[in-house]
Amino acid sequence: MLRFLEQWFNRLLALFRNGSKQRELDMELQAHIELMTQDYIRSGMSPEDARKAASKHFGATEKFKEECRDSWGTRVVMDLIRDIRYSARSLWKSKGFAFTVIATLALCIGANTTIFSVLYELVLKPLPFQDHERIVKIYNIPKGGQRSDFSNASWSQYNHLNEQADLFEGFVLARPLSRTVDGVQRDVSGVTSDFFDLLGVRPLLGRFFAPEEVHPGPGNVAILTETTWKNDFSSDPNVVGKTLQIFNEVPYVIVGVAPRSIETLYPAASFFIPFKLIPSSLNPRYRTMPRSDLWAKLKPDVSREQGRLHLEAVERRAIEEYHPQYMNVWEMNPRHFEVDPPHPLASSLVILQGGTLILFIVGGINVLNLLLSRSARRGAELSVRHSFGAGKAVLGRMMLIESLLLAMFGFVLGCILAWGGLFVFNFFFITLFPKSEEITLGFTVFIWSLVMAGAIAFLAGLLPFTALWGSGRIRKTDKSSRSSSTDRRGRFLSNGLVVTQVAITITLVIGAGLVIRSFGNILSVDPGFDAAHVIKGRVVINRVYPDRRDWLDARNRILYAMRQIPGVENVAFDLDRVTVGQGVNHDRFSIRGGSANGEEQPHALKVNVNSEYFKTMGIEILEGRTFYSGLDEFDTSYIVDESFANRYLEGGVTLGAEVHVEDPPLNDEDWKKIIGIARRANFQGLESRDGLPVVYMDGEHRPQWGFTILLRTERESESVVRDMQSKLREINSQLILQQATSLDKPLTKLHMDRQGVALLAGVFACLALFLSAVGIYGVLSYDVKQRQREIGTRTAVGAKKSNVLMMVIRQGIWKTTIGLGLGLLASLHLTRFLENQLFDMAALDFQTYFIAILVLLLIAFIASYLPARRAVKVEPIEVLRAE
Amino acid sequence: MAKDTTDLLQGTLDLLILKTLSLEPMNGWAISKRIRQVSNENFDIKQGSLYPCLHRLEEKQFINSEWGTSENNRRAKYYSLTKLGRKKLSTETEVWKRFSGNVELILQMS
Repeated sequence: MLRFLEQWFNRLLALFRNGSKQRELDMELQAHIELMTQDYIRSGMSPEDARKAASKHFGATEKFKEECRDSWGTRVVMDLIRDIRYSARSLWKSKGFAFTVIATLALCIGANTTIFSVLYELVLKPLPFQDHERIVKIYNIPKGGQRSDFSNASWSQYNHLNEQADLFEGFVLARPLSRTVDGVQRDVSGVTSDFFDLLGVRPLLGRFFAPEEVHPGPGNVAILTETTWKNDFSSDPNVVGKTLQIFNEVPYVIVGVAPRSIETLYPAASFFIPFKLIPSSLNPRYRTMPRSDLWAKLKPDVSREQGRLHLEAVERRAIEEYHPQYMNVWEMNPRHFEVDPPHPLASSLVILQGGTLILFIVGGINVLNLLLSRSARRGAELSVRHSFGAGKAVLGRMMLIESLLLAMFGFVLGCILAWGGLFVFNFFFITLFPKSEEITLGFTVFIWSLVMAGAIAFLAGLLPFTALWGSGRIRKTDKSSRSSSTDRRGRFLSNGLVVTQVAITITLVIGAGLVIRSFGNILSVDPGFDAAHVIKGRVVINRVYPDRRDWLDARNRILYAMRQIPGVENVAFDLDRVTVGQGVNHDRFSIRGGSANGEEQPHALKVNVNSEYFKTMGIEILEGRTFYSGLDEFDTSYIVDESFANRYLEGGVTLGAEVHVEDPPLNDEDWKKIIGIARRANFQGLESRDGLPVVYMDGEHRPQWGFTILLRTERESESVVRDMQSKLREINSQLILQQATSLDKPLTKLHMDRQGVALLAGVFACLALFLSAVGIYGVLSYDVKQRQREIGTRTAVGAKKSNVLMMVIRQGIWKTTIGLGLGLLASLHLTRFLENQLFDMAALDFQTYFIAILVLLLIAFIASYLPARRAVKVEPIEVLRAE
Repeated sequence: MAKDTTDLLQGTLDLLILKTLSLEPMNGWAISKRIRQVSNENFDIKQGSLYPCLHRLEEKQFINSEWGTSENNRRAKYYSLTKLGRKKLSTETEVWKRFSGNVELILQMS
């Protein structure tokens, strides 16, 4: 291989040195003649005679100079250049053909490259750390919970796992936080001191955290990310030792700068602070805590599955050993450790990648068919070239160069398309995941697309040629073979290709149909609340009012002020972010008399709201009433949603049941009454219909460090938000209103990924349908051309036009039907992979299958009708004359 | 025996050149002179065969070339055997011996 490369390199060099080599050869031959002359002189000739004799003996030099040049190897390169020029010219002559092939390739390569770029960047790309394959993120997921319900690790779990889980090298904690720096809210990561060590990164400047810095106490330190260092400190080399002024906190001293690789884990964070140990979080009761990430590194040669089983075992033992009082509980709720969860878009992307691959095969088949029919047309030309001495290798090379040229143009255009596609994608992607980085066309993806283009070029170049060569048409000069059916092999091949194409297309169409219908099903779910005229905003008060005893009063004053805003009908709050779809406060409940579904301690989300909440949110109370307001004490009763009632309560949506958080109470009078049943509100998006049920509690007397304000108003949101801000400032100039928008704004984003997948799947399916139509059309119209003589003869002996028409159409439908049969069989298997992505429907959806088949048959009919009409126009006399 | 190399079996010229060069580096004229002398003037290799052959061997990296000076002070291109060429020579010699032995056997039979 190396020698082969060297040879080619030398050839290329020789091409540039051609001139000097030529001169060298002349000099060498000159030397030869002179040496000869000298020898002749020495043997006694006169100088004159010697020179003449030498020249005569030497003879004409031109012919063997040519032979010498051949041996230099530049010949191969020159031939190649000539072939490329020839191919380019011949493609230029059939522009329509070239354009179709290039456009098809560009489309398929473009779609693949775009989706694959995203898939690679978000899912497949390894973390930029040493031993990245051993670094995992560990999740605690409650039984029956959805991904968004997870609660993560705590100090207690972190300490325990570091001691006990010996299949791991170590565990670290990290927590996304936010801090206000110079009046601007910034994302920050709190990390334990071993965080950087585990990932194996070195500081760019200064140092990382020391173990004692996570302990509570004076002395705040911070580490900048490289991006912050660059953007905010213009890469100041003396940044270590400077301080960050953080709102309401002792200034943070910058002790170091972390390299950019770390930003892949927390792209939004602009600096790191120590994850302060809160002594209470060592309490085993809080083994899980919201929003703390637990990262770990597996020991070498330990698989993820081994790691997961080991963790589950350690976790079970921990509960048995340390908290026997919770044993029952924990056994009822085995925690699933999910290691290294994929990006939320991952499964959608895999589906789309499957779609684009199918599209690529469909397009590739078209290209192959186009080249097949072109090579068949060129049989005569090739056979002339063959008779002039071009061998199999030379002709094959010519065909290959042509397909390589086409593939190259297709690839370049495809890359441009992918670039555009990513541009569009990034626009939506950033809206959906505001903290993400833009996705660009990476090297790996580029190479992958290049390989795909190369593969199709080789197939499309060599397959038609071997079929043609095998048919023997090139080697015969007999002209009559042109129209006879000697190229059965080529026809068999292209028929097989069309059948495959239809089969693959139907799987894509069915897949897309399922995804689209499932999306429709989601959209038809009743959200259960009316977000259109609700404005939300979050206020954090514990920084302004450090004393817990001030919180209630502060909140009441804020809510009172909000009521004064003109046009505001209702004011409510939510202490647990459930309304904005970020509820993480879930718990087990005991139900007096047992749960209806047999589950002893069902799970539900908890949310503390005020009595006006349901009116504000437009959530209908189906049964019972809302909380009493203005009481001096808690209304200790609960309101549950429909889903809770249907799933867990005997008799469904009827009042009277009594429940209790966690274990049953010691005294019977401590059971909490359910005083109302509210309509199910799908705060986490319509798909969360079957997610955790919600229990509403009276939060009016519960002090909380932060809360979400909800206003119902007919006014336009921006001006209301401005009013809300000024009202807040009137109360205390340091209060800040965060994330204030109208409530339906974030909600529309919730379905954007589904919508995007449905849309793209639809687009890919349409493209595949179109390409298949082109494929059927192409093969049939070529067929019609080939069979002109036969059709002409049939017409001459009295075949009716409608007979001819039907004959061709029947052929098209026949091929489609075989393809459909095969494709349906494949679909039955392939759509199973879609099963868990579908909402409210089975993968074997009769309606979708039926429509897909109908659409494909219709398209096959149209694609067959056009060539059939041309066949009808064949004039028998014309055909016979041409013979 | 044939007077010209055109009648030489294909590949034989390669073998003769490689063998000649195995003794010492030589220029084109010296190679043809040596082959003539050794073959008792039976093989006269024409330049038209010699030079394409030399260039081909060089392209295949069996021989190297270098400009040098002849004994009578004339600059000429000198060819020498490479490691690869030496290997090629020994295998080709083996092949030739077997081949000519077989041909002889057949000729004796009839």
